[in-house]
Amino acid sequence: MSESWDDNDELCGEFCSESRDMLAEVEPVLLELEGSSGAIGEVDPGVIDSIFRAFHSMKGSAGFLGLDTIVSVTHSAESLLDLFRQEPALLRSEHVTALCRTMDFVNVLLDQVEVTFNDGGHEEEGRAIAQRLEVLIESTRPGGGKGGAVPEASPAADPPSVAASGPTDEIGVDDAVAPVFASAPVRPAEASEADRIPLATRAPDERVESDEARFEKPAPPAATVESPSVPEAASSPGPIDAASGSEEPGGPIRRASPAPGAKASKGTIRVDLERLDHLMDLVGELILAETMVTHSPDVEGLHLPRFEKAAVHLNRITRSLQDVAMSTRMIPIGATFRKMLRVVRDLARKQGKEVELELAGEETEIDKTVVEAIGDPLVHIVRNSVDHGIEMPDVRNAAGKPRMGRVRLEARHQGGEIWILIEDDGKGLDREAILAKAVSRGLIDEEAAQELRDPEIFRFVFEAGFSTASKVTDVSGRGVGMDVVRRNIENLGGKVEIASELGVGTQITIRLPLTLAIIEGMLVRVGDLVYTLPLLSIRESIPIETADVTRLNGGGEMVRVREGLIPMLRLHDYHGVEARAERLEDGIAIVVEDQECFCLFVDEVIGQRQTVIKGLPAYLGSLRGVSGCSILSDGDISLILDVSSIEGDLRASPSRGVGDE
Amino acid sequence: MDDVGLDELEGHLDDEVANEGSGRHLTFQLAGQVYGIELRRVREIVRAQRATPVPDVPDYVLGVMNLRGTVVPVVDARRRMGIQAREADERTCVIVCSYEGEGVGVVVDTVCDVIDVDEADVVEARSEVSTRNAMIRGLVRTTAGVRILLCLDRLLERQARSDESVAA
Repeated sequence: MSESWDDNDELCGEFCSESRDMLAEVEPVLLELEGSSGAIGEVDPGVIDSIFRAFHSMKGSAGFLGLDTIVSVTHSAESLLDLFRQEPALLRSEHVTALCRTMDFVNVLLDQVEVTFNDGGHEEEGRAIAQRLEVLIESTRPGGGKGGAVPEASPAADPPSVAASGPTDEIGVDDAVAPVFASAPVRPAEASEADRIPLATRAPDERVESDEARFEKPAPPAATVESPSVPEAASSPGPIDAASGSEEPGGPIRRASPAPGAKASKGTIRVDLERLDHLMDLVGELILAETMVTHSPDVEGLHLPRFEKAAVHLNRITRSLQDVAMSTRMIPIGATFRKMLRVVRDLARKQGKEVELELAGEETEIDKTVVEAIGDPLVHIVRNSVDHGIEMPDVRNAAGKPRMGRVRLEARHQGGEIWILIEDDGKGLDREAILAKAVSRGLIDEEAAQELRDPEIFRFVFEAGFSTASKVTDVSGRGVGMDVVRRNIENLGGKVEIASELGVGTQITIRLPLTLAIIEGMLVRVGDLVYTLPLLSIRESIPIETADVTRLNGGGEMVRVREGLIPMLRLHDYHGVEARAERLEDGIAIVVEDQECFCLFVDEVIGQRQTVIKGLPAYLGSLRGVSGCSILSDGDISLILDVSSIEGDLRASPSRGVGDE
Repeated sequence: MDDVGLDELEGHLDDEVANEGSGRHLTFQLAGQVYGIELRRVREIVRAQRATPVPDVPDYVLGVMNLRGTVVPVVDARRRMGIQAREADERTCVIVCSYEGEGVGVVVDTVCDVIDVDEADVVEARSEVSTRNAMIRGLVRTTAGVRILLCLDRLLERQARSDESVAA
């Protein structure tokens, strides 16, 4: 790369750790595909899709970092996988082998990238791998020659560096690719150790290090660098290793490099995220215990001025403690935003566009896990804005716009949520093109399409495989991306909205909860139970009467809310509990929204609470319409409702949760 | 009955669990009959508390309870064993056991004692009993009477959901 960027090593480091994580995730999936059926008859297209996406995003990031060899091999791998997205049955073990080889090669490159920040010197091996993949693509393509033409070779060619990386040696080796690894400059112990560091603990740690220099920790003693023990190389790279929370992340190569150690400590330490979670749990418990003491029936009604005073003091301390504990998990979103500068710059340069990126609200603090998870979706959206949104300078000129396109990224707090806005002043979304595509893909019939309003039409953009770009670029247009974006954001308990005006620009709003550990919830009562509804999904609550409700023939109920009819579900019937409100007039309907609006009928609304989210015990399996639980101030447990899965159930069988009145 | 106070037993447990005597069993009562489960699987014993019911579970899963901030599923041993359920009283206990790395609470009428069981003394239950109830792994005679030893894994085994029970 010709230009040096201050944050180059930071970006490279992050790219390496993310890519390793992705590879580590994909490999077992791929191997399982192979193992689950010898002949690979039935393959889940969704699984293929997830592998495809991993390669796709790796390729994208590598492109921005100028890692050409990685781009070329991942591009070929992606093209190969693309075939199976259409026709999963074509996947055979030789493909799996070739893909695993590719992943090994990328891992080797990543080791180098971590130290030198480039992947030069492996062009030839890269070409060999890409070629091999291309041969497979040709022979696999429906109508093309059979893949059997490609020779499989003996496993004897397996060099030690590959053997050390674990799962790969379970697969046959073919000599078209194997020699590549023999020349790879990686010692066995290093390769295995890098693999062995678990995903779960490693990824967060490393990102803290790269995002936030202040989380720096002194480099480990040099002795550890000198003792890569060979027995370790033989140990299996298990995906989870609870003991290694103390492992120095970053892989052995980084250890050997003097750079990280040279950075001065800024009076901060790195803390295992698990410990912070534990701290949060304990603080929650403390607050509960405090309530139990200060509101104990034993002291009720007594005149205890000194006790009262002490109680108030205690309360103040516990609340501040809670705030502090919460804030330990929060980091500013700035580092993630700044990654986008590079994304925009490189993409604009590549396409001959002029684009400036404006950042606002960089100091906005978000839960660390949210910040991490929002990175990829943000890259996708920003990339889309530049690629599809911003026009070429001449086109802009002709349209009377400034030559320089503008993309604006903003983060801000908005009513207990974090909003991230991505705006561009590009050509906007073409309503008609999206509609045409939606109709042609059978997402909607032509008649219904005429009645859709803009927000509903724009929502199609988030459907899987939906891309209106006419040609496939190496950036976007394959239709991966926006559906993943939506899913990622929804997994965080957030929402994504899109608004656009043709010729003027597009605005995407990501709404996220402040933290994943805490939920802003509305407590509602059904019989003896108290449920928590995520505040984000609540529209309003309305009293209803029997006259408002229409019964459907196929089961199910619709309730009239002002001008429209929306489906209603009685929570007590849905969960089979006894309600107090026998008549509709005694209860209340809460209008919630996920994809569409629907009503939940409950006994009463208790009020808004901020509660700590706890997972459900695995023993219970997954519970219908429940995403987790929280502990109420009286020590009782409240189930947190999952509005989107309830909506799914309601669609699948509208008669569920209908009263017998 | 040879039962002991809950507090006394709790202190007792600490010593016992530490030395991991695998032959040690905790005994408890259900409808007058005394049963035993392996002590090393017992994490703690707590007084009965209200369980929050959850959907989509078999009827013997009462729900979840709050064990000092941890959410623990609760199984009613009576219902699980096919014994008539009853209201909790002041002697009702929840035995928190380890099951697949998690704590699972088992509601029993009352806990009794910790006994030593020599595996050689365990006799298989008569066949009609064991087919009727696969949770019983054997019987053992003690000075205080016959104890029915239960297999905790079978007792807590997750079964097919009693699904669609609330469908319209």
